Amino acid sequence: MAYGFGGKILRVDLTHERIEIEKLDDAFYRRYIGGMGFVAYHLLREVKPGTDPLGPDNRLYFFTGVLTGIPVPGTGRNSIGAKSPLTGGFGESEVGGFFGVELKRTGYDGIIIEGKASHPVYLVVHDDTCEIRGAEPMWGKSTKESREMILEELGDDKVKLAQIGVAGENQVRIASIICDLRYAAGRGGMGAVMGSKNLKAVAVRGTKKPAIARPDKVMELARWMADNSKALVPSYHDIGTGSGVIGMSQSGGLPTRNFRSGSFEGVESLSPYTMRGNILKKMDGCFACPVKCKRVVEVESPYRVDPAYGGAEYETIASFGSNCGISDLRAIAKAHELCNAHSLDTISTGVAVSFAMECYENGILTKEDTGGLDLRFGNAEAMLALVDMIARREGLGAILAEGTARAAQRIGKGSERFAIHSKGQEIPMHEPRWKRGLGIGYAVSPTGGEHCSNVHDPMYEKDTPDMESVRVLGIIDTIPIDDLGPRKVRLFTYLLLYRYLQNSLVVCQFVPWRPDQISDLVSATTGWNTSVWELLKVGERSANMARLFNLREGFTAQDDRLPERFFEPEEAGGLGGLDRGRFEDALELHYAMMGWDMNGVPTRGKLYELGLEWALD
Amino acid sequence: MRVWVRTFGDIYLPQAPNGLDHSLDIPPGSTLGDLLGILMIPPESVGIMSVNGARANESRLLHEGDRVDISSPIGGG
Repeated sequence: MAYGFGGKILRVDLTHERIEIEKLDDAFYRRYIGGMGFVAYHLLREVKPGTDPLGPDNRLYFFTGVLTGIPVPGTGRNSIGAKSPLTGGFGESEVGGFFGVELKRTGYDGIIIEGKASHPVYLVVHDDTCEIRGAEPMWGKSTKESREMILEELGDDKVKLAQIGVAGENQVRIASIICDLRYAAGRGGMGAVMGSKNLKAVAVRGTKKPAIARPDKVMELARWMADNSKALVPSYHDIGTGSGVIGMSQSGGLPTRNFRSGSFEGVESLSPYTMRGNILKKMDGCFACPVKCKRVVEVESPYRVDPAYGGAEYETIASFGSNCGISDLRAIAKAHELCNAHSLDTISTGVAVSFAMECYENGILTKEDTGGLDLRFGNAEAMLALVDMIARREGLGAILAEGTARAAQRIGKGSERFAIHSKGQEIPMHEPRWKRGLGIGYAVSPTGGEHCSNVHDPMYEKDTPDMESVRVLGIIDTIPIDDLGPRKVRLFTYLLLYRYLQNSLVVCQFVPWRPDQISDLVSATTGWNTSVWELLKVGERSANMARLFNLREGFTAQDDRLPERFFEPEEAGGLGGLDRGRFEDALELHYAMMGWDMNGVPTRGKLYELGLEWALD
Repeated sequence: MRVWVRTFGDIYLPQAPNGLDHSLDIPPGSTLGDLLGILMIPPESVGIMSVNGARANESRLLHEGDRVDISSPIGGG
């Protein structure tokens, strides 16, 4: 008997309306473990080079991991992957909530969508049964409206949904997939892939709890986290991920006005204390999690914000707030609601808006281009209007819907220098001129600008719980924030492997499990006699498969780049720019530590070591 | 003298009703470092501190009505 996984996945061909069950053997699970690992493996195996990301030959993957759905904090996540229409490379995004748990309980560990339906459809998986149903009445509706229609049609309010709104339907390249209104697989344009397949939603309902090899040990670990999470991450629990905005602004690390500055004069208005005292309705969370870092907000005026969509995370607060020069939490809450209703990524959308604002203030865009919007930094009404235009591909929104990099190419006139992206994906709300190691991660990330599988340097400057966590990996001494030398590269490289393991399992980074505890959890759940060593190799396999996929698509070391802006100082006496020579040295050293050659290509030795010889070509 | 304290990140104030922010009386002439001692916050757990919105270090002298923000090292979000 298999523990921790069902051993089978669904393959749904929408073109031919064919549904098949595929079985995966135990060794496959132990080698790739789920989530990102499964996505990377399948992308390499079955999506041919040059495939149109928005064509029927692309795949859309929904995968859980071996820990998904066990009654332990941090396991309520799943991964969604595809070839990204935003970058043209490896695309993968993880999402919290309850969808992954419900999917796992159907008995299937994942769903592969291929082809394209001839008309709008949604997929229903209820335990062993799977059905493709018409979604014409739901097409064009918001996520909330279509969710209500689907739940009513199925007559079951326990169904969990992954769905798109109009941005996904319109194949906006920064469209997200929204799970149960409040949880977003935001990055890489996964929603556009879903829309390209005419797939409005995936509905799952399962009644089979995953089998656990040693339930007593799993429960012991769950109790430990329940007892300690409040002390380990108190502010996530009480005020959420926006806890850092004040300190970041004071450090010069809060992206402000399209990354021109790192300090925002209106930051107090974005503080979690301001949110708590004004618009916060309650804290909320994911499956089996005591941390409850999610927020639910409610606003009556000047905008009505529906609490059904939850509330803004830190990334959203900064991307629509300081980075657009906006200090009104109510407007940010409205932008968040629009993004979840339309299925837009809040990071990429916010950066697309701030890019357009900088173009406008520099005369590259005029009111003629913006449809009359006075698109200066700080104009909340204009920001909200533009978000809606992006989702609907209207006017300037149609250009920005292609993502910031493509928009800059289209607009020209020197706007390229305002496009803050890596590999075509917009940079998240963390400043690499402050967190210097983070810049390496932005540059080498296979999905483009990405902050989760990355090093957040301040956490390793002092004896924090994060520092204690990496000591398990052999990183013993603390390292200064501005260090970009070999010690920082080693920290980043080890952390990357651990983050990719987390993305493969698929577990949350905000639940502060140490690597040794994760190893204990995997052992207790699956019955495998595993170790931190073996599991880091799973993360390393994921990193190398994603890298190989991008190389096959034509990416080179030249694509491991940061926007020029980060090599220049911040405005108004802020932080200095990155040193290009030190940055290039750090990248080269990272390649070497990964077992990649000078061009960033995994060596034969590395692929054989990881058991990826099948990928040698 | 009375000062207002808010914490961010992984710093918890057992003395505060909600564990995160409260006001308290401290001896005149106290520094930010003294305040950390009164609040039993280990200096090594602090990433950034500010007084009335301006970054400050442990030697900063506090005054009546000051608003103190204390943040642990800041990670992702």
